[in-house]
Amino acid sequence: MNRALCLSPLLSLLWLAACDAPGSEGTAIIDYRPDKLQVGDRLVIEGPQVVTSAATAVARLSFRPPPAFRAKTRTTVIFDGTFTYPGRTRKQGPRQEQKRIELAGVALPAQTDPVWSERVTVAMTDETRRLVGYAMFHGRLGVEQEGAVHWIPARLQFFPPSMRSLADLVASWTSDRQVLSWLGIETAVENDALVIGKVIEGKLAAKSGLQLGDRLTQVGGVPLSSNRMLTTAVRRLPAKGVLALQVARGGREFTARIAGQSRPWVIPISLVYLAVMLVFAVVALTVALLFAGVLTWVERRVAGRVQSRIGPNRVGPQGILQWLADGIKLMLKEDVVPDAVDKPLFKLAPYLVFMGLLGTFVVLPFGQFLIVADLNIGLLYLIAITGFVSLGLMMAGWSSNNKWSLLGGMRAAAQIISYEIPSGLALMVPVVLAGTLSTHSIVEQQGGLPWQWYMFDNPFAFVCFFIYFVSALAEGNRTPFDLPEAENELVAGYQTEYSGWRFAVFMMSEWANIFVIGAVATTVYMGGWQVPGLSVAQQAQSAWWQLLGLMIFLGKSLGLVFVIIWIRWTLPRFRVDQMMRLCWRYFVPWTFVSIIAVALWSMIAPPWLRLLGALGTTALCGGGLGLVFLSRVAFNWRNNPEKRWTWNPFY
Amino acid sequence: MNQLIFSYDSGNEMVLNMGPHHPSTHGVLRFIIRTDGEIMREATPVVGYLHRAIEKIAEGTPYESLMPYVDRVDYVSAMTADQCWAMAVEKLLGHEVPERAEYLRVIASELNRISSHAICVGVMAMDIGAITPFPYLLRERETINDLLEELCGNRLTYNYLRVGGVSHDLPAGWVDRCQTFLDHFDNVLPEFDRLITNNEIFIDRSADVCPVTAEEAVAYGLVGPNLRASGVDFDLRRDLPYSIYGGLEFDVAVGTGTMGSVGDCWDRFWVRCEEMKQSVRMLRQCLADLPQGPVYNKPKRIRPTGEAWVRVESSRGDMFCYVVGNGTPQPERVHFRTGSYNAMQIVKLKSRGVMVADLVAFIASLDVIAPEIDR
Repeated sequence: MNRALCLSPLLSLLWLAACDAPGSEGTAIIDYRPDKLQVGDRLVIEGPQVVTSAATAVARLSFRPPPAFRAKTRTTVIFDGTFTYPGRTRKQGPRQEQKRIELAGVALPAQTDPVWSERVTVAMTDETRRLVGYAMFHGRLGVEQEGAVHWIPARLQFFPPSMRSLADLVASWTSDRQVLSWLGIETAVENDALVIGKVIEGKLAAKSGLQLGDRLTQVGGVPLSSNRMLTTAVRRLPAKGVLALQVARGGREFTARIAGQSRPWVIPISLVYLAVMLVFAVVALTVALLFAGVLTWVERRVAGRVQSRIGPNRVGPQGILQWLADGIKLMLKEDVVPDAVDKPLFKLAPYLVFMGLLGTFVVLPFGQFLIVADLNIGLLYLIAITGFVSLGLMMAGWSSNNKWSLLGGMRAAAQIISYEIPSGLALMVPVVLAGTLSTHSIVEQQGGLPWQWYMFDNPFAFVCFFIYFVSALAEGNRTPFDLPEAENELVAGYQTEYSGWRFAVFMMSEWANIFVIGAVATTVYMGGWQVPGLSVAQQAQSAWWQLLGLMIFLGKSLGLVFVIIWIRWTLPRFRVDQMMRLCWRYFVPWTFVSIIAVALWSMIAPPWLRLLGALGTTALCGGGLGLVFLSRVAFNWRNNPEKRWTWNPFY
Repeated sequence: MNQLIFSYDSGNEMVLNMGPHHPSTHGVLRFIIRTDGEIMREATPVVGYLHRAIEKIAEGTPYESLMPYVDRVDYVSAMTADQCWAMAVEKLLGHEVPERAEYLRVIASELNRISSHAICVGVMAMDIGAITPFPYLLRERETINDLLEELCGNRLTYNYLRVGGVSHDLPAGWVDRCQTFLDHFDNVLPEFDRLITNNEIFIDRSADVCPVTAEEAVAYGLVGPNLRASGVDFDLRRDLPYSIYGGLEFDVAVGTGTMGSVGDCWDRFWVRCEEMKQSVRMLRQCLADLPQGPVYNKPKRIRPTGEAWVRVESSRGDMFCYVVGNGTPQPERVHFRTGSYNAMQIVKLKSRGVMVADLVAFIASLDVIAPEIDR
């Protein structure tokens, strides 16, 4: 059941020709990139002569091809070295194997694809399924052609498949299935050829005389070592072209010509890709909306308990369906668009805010492999897409044609834009510590234990955590920064004229934002999904660790969400000028100083000193915080005997 | 009579209407605000939205039947309003009230003062954004409402006092329940102080906001906690005692500008919190000294002539009632003068150069109750 699983070129080895000398001793591998591989990747060995293609319009230099690297030649990629697999448990420790894995492929001639050069395409097939898990390879990478082997020392990492490679897999598998069903055969890969395992009556293959057990060896001169080759060949047929398959049957070789009246409409791979991504996007959207809805219930119950009352407890067990009832009610309300508003802006504004919020769910790392898109500019994308929120709020305030809404919108604009600076800068501190903007990598570089979090890395980072937290609260219009929607002053600020579903969209955005604040703070400052005591490699091994990581991430995020709700119902709100003063005179200078200090610290301090600093910060800052909290609890315990806690928050 | 309202528009102002329908105003009030977006040029109050012609109705209602209407003059602190009217008619008649009735009146008034101040400080905190202190105080107010409901059957507009006494005597066990409540309430106020009175954000929002000097307060006729917060040491219960207040021992809280200036919003807030503590003190004394005896000395015929006036210290300050009798069962003229009416006038003075958010805090700190303004 070997499947050709390639769509995106991942590993390319560059050949370099020596100046003039023909002969294999002049060729050498100069580079391989990248150093992370997944199942489904295609290994591409690029020859030095690259044809300029109109499609890509990138001109590269061309060298005289060395005669040793020839098209249509069987080529083998060899991994020869030590594979280190992380142990299943801590006691077991990592496991090392010395082995040699050979992947066979064939160089495709340049004519079949003007975009490619002489390339060897080697598929990471099922034979390498052992590499599906996490493994580190240290050894040498070799390319063999006609007996001559060329080596390069290499360190590679093998990863389990990500969401994108899954999309690639699905896309390529779908197109392969399409072609096979057009031909009417089922195939299996065996020894560099496709063996027909089944012929369906009435279809093209049966009509052309192909039989069970035939071996399809070549098409157009290219050996068929996977279904992918067949699909590519079929795709490249002209309109009324004839597919010429080399067939071997019982020792005899002949050419079968298959002339189809109509080529199969193979779903363009990009569409399949898009469909898979759409499914992931819908999943992310559902998750976001579920969180937004359930968090309203959590907020109302917690608010009730803080105010010594109960909160909604009628609709559904413990009132857990209250948000659903409220959402449905809002949906069914009359769609009121006041007469004098600026209609396009009025209708668009809530959705801009919503879009700005939902876009952030794409880069949140819920688990080690549970991230929708591991953008390598993840945090930058996050900060950028939340810019839509301020745009939407201003539009809402302006278009409502209402002075109170205008005041609310202007306040919101000033507040959000001001606080984006300390928020963004405070997010840069973990970026400095991690060296990457990708959320996945930032979490990977932390650990599960508190002193491995960036929050406790040094006192500057500790303070920047709180600066980020407070700035994100301000951006989300949460008390104590809820001036733009201050009920007592402005009715509802920019939301005054909105009712029904549009109002619900604003509300949902606010609650989704709360979760995003907690999630982002967890990701960059509190170690994300990392399980305490395990390394990243160990966590990749088992699905149970993945589940635990997800629970840890959600637990930390929801803990911060609880703190946000707690703060809302305890503190009064700031006035506009006090809020601005806080931002510009305290937060912005402090974050600037912090970035410089943290950068210096991470440059100068050796690892042992950094560990010591982290331990010290955990003890002092973290311990201090815990002590203050516990001492307040003890004080209230002593002085308010009526208010001891209850184990059942739902009574 | 035509009136020309002259106002100039400097071109970069907008005129906002903090309308009768507004979640923040304490009752049905309206402010016309001229502002440049955040700083106000002026806020002109427009009153009269809650005018129910109580004084006119009084001209056709017998003296003893007017009590429910008087409740609604100040429905948050109805016992003190009742006391004002009852004392006015008794002074007009020259009628005696039994001593137990006087004690019961004071007990009811002080309980009502606690619940009225609870609403005021809770709503002020809520207007500034801290929503939680209000339910905390409402929880205490629920106990007070229960106590007063046991006493007279009503939770808000009590109709408890009568001309000549009170309507009902204490039910069995009421004194103990009240004592339990007072012991419990002793813990509530310190917690409240920790939660909101000494909260830094709250202090930032209320200290140095619209300070009213003593001269301004006296000139504009502010009364009650508003006057005392501005530094004027005057309390009717101590300086012109009526009923049994002369025999009670209590302190009068006067604002000293602890957190900012004398007479700022924080002082007004603090004065009301202190008054709640003093009310608890007075209640303990009253409950301890409660004499036995009748509670209602019903007058034979109420057909007085002449005029009388009386001042009581209601929760909002000096409430004054003037009644003129003409020998018929209905009064000739009744007039109430309440503290909230004067407080509205100072809003126009103090609102210049202040932000809209501060206006909300200021109005909340003045403890303005709309029915009291318009009657």
